[in-house]
Amino acid sequence: MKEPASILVIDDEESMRDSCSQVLTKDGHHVDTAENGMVGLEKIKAFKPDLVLVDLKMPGISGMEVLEKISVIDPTIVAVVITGYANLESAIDAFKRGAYDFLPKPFTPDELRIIIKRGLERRKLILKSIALEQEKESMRKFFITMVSHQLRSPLVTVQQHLEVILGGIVGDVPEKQEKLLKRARESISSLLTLIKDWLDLSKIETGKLTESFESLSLLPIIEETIESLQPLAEESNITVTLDRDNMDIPMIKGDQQSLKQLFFNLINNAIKFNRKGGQVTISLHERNSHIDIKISDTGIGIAQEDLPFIFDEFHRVRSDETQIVPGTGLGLSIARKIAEAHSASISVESKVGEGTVFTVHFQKI
Amino acid sequence: MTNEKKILIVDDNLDYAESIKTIVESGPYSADVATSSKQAVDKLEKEIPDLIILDVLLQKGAEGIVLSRKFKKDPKLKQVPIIMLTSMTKQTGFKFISEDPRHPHFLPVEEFVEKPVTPKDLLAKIKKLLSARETS
Repeated sequence: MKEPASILVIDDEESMRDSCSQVLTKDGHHVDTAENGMVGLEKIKAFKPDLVLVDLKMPGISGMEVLEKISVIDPTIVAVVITGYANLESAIDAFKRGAYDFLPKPFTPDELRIIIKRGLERRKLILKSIALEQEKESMRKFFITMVSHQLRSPLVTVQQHLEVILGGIVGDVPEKQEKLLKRARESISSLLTLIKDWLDLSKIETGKLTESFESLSLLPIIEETIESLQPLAEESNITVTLDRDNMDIPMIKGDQQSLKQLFFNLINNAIKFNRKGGQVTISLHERNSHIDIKISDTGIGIAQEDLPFIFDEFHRVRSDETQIVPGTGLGLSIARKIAEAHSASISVESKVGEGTVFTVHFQKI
Repeated sequence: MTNEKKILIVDDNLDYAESIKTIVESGPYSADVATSSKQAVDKLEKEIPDLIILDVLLQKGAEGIVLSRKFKKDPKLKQVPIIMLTSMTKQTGFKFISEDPRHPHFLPVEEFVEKPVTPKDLLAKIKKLLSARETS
């Protein structure tokens, strides 16, 4: 019925310790007591109780200090303060220091039970939410490992077999067959790229990314990305220019790798969906609180009715012109996730047949 | 038959290893396959090959890399050239391949190739390494 919990009672009054202990032990809980804050904190460190009852008025280290220290030792421990008669102010102070509930003296055993019950329900919820989070994380990692190995391995094997055949190692390959085999090879290659993109997407958990944040300048990141895309641009005679109205680009906080990916995806799109001999212009603008990076192209544009969906996973606008453009449909979803992880946003304006402008809005440090 | 150079292929994916064997045996070589590091070590104890094609063996925690170091420390094996294969490529999303990951201590292999290999490329590398050995 009721799950036994471990409870610690910290109170300098012996009668208080004894009576709380009696009531709660009778209810099936494991109860320990401490006569002052120091002993109480040592016991908390030793056996990490589910719930702690702390008397606010104690000699030596005060109840408030104990509260603060509890949240440092383990913020998931539920703390309930025992306050003096009608001392609401202290209760509010206690809440600010991490207390979950308060129990004004004098109290009856039943009043104690109600408070303890509430506190333990809270504890249960906290622990469940932590467990779910951990499960989600380990499932995610498993998924990534599984996908990256189990799916890639046979695909690479198929690729290898195709190479063996196309290399003429197991006999001559007539032209018609060679054509089909080469297309099969490209399909496998696309599939592997899709898996990589999908893995990238699932790896970008907004929480995790912030762990590698540092102060950096967007300028070199953008410059390097433009450089890496030059060969692609040259294939279709597209000019990529970097404009800046301001030599002094302020720093932002971010993760270099993923920011490179973000700009790569946007500029790559600007080139891919462009017309031959077209332009891609990247410009940086500083506003009061934000830095805006505009990526504009002279490409095929996006229709108004398609705009709400372009950031969706796997979404590709269906048209004669977009059919021939290679891609997984994940580029913008990845870009958006990276932006979100940086507390940034991406806006888009477009005119069919004329071009599109994507703007990334970063917050200044 | 005894003139043919012997090549040992180590890859835990048998299907993949067989396709490499097909490539290798299209040249003047004979190939044997081991699908685990234990099997590889057992075979090496019985016979020293002229060349080893070794997968990174990522599923077992990059054991291939550990093996390569072990082989190079073994006086009986250190002269045997190693071609290391990996399926961790730019395409598969890992940044494992930077420029040249080979390192005389940490990754002491003669060649490091990404999968899938083209038969032409693999055979050329094998030829080069075997003739280098002849002349040394």
